[in-house]
Amino acid sequence: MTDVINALIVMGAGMTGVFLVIILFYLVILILRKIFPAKKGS
Amino acid sequence: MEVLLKLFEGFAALSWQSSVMFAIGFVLIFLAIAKGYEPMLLLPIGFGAILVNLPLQTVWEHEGIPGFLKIFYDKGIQNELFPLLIFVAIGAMIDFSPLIKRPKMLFFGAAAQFGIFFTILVALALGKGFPDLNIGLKDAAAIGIIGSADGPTSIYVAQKFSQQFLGPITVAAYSYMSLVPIIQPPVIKMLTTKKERRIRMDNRDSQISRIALIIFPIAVTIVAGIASPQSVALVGALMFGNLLRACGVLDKLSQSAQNELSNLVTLFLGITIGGTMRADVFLRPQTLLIMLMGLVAFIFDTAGGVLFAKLMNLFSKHKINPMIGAAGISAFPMSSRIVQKIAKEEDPTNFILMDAISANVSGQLGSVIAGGLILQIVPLLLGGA
Repeated sequence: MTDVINALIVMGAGMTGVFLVIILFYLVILILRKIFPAKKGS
Repeated sequence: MEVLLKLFEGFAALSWQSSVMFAIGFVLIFLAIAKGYEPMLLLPIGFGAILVNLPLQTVWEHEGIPGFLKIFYDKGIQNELFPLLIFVAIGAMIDFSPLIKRPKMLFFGAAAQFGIFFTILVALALGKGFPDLNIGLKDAAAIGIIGSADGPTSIYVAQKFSQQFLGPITVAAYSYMSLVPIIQPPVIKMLTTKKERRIRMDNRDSQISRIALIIFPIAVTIVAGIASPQSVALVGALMFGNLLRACGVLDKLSQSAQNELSNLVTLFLGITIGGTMRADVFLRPQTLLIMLMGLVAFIFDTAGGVLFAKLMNLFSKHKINPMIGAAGISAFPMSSRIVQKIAKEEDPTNFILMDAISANVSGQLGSVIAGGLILQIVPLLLGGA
């Protein structure tokens, strides 16, 4: 039973963790696009 | 008499189990050559499986002397070297510009990892239901990671958590990756309506600067390393390869990574994985379970991505074609091509390939992060074991 609870924790924490890290990557991209905008005509 | 026995020891050592493994090896080679299923991996794996099941297993270990496959295993897989070198090569092949142009597609790379975690739960539940299978949390995690749809990540996690299942997990991972064109379409069609499959995406392309493309792999490595330290090796190798490509001044190294490095390491990796498929290890009920769970993982990855897209559509004004969610798995570029193919079947003028590619590339990141988090969370729950 403990193992199944652990698996549920892995599921919850894992998916949450993946989304949180992806949100960080999303912010990284937004910041990069803001700081280093594409040159006009490129 | 002793000399005669020694002369024919090969025949004496043959067993029905080795015959079954020869057949499995032949099947993998057949799938690779005749059907074109991931030939770069399945052919070496199949041949390695035949080699290691020949009498006396001299290619693995005989009378205390390691054979060449055991040496490759110790030097390349036991220490995680081969998967990481493959990741350098993969990183050099990836172009992140579609993703940087469409950053919202990142979220599908997260959602489509759902199958990994769901499969961990199911594998563990089955292990509890059938105690003879002897599947613990670490084994279940190694099985679930098949859902990453990423060979190196699967090998990396399986090597750390469940060496006994490394062979079947790798075979399952690469087999199902090649079967993505068969697995994904029915799941996508079951979860979407015709109207949803016909949704058009905004095809206006924003521009990005070269500097952003160069900084991106460095920034991602640092962010991932801080958020999920166990993923540093995987993410770092992937992003190092990508930096070689993006920097624009190391074209020779980038080309070498994409070609020579990739080909050489794939060759060694494949045959060595085949070498782990010894009959006594492979021919167990757990292997069947692993094959079944691999399918579950891929199905629920697809479902996770599609359903997340539908969820996003509830809250956004500009609807997203939910099939793009399915492209969030790491099977690049096959998954994005499948999504575009289905879109074209519904509406020949609908072009969603670039959005699908963005999600597909994001899946590469998502799967690696998922692997790293699993490596971090599972030992914590087991008290550091």
